[in-house]
Amino acid sequence: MSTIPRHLKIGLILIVIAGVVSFGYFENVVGRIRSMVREPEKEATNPFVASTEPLFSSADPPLAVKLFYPPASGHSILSSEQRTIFKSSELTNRAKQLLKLIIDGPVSKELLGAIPTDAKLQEVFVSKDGVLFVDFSSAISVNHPGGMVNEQATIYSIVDSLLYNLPEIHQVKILIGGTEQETLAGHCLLLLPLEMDLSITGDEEGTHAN
Amino acid sequence: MKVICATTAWIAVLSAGFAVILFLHVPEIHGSSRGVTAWTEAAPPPSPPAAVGTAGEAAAVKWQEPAAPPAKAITTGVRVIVIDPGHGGIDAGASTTGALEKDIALAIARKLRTILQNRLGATVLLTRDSDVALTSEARTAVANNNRADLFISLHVGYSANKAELGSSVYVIQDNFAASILPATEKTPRLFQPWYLGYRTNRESSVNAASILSKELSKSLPGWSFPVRTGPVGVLASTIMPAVLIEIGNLNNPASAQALLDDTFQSKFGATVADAIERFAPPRQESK
Repeated sequence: MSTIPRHLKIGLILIVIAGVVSFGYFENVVGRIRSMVREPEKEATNPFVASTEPLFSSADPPLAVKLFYPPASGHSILSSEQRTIFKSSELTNRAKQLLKLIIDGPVSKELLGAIPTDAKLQEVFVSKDGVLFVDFSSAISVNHPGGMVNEQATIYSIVDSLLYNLPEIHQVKILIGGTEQETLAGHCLLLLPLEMDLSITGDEEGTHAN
Repeated sequence: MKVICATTAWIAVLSAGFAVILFLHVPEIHGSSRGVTAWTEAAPPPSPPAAVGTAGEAAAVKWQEPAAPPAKAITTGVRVIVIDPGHGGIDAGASTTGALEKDIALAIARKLRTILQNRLGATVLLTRDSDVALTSEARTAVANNNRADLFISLHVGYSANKAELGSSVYVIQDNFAASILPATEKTPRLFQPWYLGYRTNRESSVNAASILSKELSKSLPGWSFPVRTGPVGVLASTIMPAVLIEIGNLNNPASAQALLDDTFQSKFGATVADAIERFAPPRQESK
């Protein structure tokens, strides 16, 4: 060992130091590259199980309702079409029937669907002071194509359709995945309950259908 | 043997030199902030404010020292303008093949900043100048904390109707959050909900939106910019005239092409500058 020249020893020490520093640097770079190439986020498994109870009984009379969807052409954000539900005694069951029709989309070819595909209604709650809480699965946000007008159409398709046809309630609060979200697609604030806005429908003749 | 030793020694010297260069130029190794700009997302600020959640938000909420005074004389009563490029970070906004709303909004915002600084001599701040996610409140805080005279949030539209070319200039609904505190309520309250900040300047916001709508519709043939209202989160707590401009439709190929075009972006910026000059003529300086 003592035969190794001094300058060679220094050289070996320097090589070791350089190796350690370089290894640290390349580990850092590899870590960054790994963090940039993320796996697509998977939606968390939702333990929610939809109720199988019927939303109406055969004795319930039909009820004409007006539903709001975005138009296929023109400048208004929403247009309406007449549909029919059953007048079940439970307010939440009527709300669920309305929301099912909103999710399923319009009959008219002149209107478009307002809710992203795969979005599901999880539950509906009503407070004593007339606020209806509507809980959608996170697909309503994750699969939304974006755009302020488009987001407003989605939100007010829900809010206006419910408030126009259910006089017992005066505000709607949208939940996503069972929790409050700031926005649905980055524009419209969902932290506060929303009121009916028919100014965006070009259809301002009334406040409630019944 | 001598040749081997000499070669090894030279390799050692060169490796040491390489290590020193790495040490000096890679901030993560020695903790210096030099050269961090290219990796702002990986380098969070040390102490984010309690009100916000992410490093990006903290960077934006912080009061920004205005840039060096503009060399050009101020030609408008609006001295500080905050431009908010919509979305950012994991929130890409609307998208089409090869284009994301967050990137287009940032590109247009940067162009608009340059035009407004050069033409109006105003101090122009961006809520984000990189690809970071911010909450609506964090964006608003940049405008409020910097005492902005005007707040413009920039977004790109998306319509399921492919033929639609429509854009919009948004102001917040006049009855937004009215259930918390009706506008007609006269009884003074100790605490005012911060969401009602917009009420102090909503009339001016409508005026600014109206001027922007007219100027943009006139300057960009075939494009319309109607004034709309909605529960716009980023405008709720602003205490200055505030609007959101949504430009084009990413689902329309011609519109998407225009949004990426440098000439279109410049024309858009110049038109917004015209509108701001109309909205706020030069102030009379007191002597």
